[in-house]
Amino acid sequence: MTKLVRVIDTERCFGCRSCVAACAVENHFTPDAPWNVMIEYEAGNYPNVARNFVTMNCMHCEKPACKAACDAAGFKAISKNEFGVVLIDYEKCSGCKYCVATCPYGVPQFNDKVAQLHPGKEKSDYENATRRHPTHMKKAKVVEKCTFCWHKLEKAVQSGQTALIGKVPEFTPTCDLVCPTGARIFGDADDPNSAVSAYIARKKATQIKKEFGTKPQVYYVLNGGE
Amino acid sequence: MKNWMIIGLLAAYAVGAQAAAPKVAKIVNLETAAKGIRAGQLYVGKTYALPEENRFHNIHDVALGLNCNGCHDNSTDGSYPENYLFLRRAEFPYVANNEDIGAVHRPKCLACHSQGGISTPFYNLK
Repeated sequence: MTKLVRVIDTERCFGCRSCVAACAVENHFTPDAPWNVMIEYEAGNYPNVARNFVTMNCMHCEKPACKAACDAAGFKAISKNEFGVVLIDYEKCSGCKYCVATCPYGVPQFNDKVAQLHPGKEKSDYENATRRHPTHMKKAKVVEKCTFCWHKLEKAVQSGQTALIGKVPEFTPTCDLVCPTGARIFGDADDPNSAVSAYIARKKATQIKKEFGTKPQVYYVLNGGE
Repeated sequence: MKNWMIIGLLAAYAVGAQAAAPKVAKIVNLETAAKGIRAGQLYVGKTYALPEENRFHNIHDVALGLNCNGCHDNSTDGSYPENYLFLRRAEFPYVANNEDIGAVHRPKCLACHSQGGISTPFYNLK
């Protein structure tokens, strides 16, 4: 089995937002429907203060509340594949936003309208392209979110190179490639020898909002431990 | 006892159904209501959507009788706290119909929507 997970080390992250920019370029998310967001806040009391940076994207939960809600509503637009990646089928999505209402992490983004990359000008070649990966087909009035860059991982699966996921750039989510401090690691948690497994164990990385029981597949190294 | 209540509700709905437009049922027993809604025995609207006139709010607001502050946090300015880890945090207070809509803290949903709760389970899924 392969269980793809990400670790984000908030002790290393200094809020540069390279991952956010990389995601925007790779996945063409629109400003009103971001797939990756940096949350920034202060903690502590003067003079012992700190500025914390936590980047958030889809948690690709083992028990996704979004999928439970979508299934209960009868649309079945959300799926979780054998690699643990949660995806939305834009053709089945009705835009009911039940997933938006149930996700404890606020991940699903309702795309009210497909914003043009260059407002007031002609559409770019990219926007006119008809052959795009299904996860990159922009459609108004549907919900979209981070896909763990499934368009890249899928190539590894199709070419029988799943062992290289998270190890070579073409099979690794773009946000994880660009981090200048190495605060993001992606890989197979079911492989005890993978870098991601070792990092989780060594740095005592944990999931956030565990009380919801959705078992997120994104782990965080938090300042001061869990 | 519960069966009689469901039958009573069904009868009330059947009488109501003879009118031109069905009215959203209003109930005070949450467990009975939840069962009735899931079984499709109680009319709570057809459109699965979040706006007030659609099913989501019909269930929580009209049928179950929860008031706005039961879910929406309007105690301050309706925003999420600065350190609340929620990707859509910046959206709040959300503006709809020129009104500020306060954030809904998801832990409030846990009471009913956890595994073993009275509502459709979304959380703590085994």
